Amino acid sequence: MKSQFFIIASIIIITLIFFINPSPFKKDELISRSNNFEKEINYIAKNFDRYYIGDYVNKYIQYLQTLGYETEYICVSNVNISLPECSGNSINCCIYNISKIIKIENFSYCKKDIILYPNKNWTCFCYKISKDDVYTINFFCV
Amino acid sequence: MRGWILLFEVALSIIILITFYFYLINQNFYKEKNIFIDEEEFRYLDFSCNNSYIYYITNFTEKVFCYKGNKLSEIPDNVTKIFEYFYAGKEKYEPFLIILYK
Repeated sequence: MKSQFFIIASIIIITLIFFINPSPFKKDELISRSNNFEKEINYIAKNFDRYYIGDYVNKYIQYLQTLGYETEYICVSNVNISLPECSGNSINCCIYNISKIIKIENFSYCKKDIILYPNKNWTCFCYKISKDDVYTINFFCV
Repeated sequence: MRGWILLFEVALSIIILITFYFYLINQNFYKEKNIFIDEEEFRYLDFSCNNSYIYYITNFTEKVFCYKGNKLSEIPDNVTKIFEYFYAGKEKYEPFLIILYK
């Protein structure tokens, strides 16, 4: 009787772990969403006019919202990317590093302000995409 | 009698563990597919369905589901999603979303 109880209990625990907590799966989904975001902004900067980046960012965030993701970002650019809040020449990503609940590996951009080299076209983003309890944070420049 | 029950329970646990093992393997397979597909391979896909892929494409005003060259009005039940990507455009800026199925 006792051993049956233990076996049934372990079956229930295993089921709970694999079906109710799909965190590893959600994490990979998040990574592919953030790859998508970075690669397409890079594609726009290389092949089209940077002016379109703003429109793409707004549409992408809207699309993620319909899938249940939340997106926050800060950005800086020395060319017009049609996002008025992205003017200036320095950025500090620390606001996304406040939460100590999840340790972010290799996220070293918080140590100091990142200042853009003036004689080149730069657009930098610091962003956070989250869904429920998982999130991804990254910094990139194009 | 007790011995038989124990044997039965051990066999049951092994079956359950094997089921979960295969479940996990399948999940990893899906994950890898989604992350390591080269998105540039599918940038040229358009609303004309002139190819053998199964995909859904939308630019948020128009939408089409292509099934191996045919346009369908609904997504069939026997397909599974393998890749989803929000493209910025081909030759010019025109954002569109592609969901690839198999």
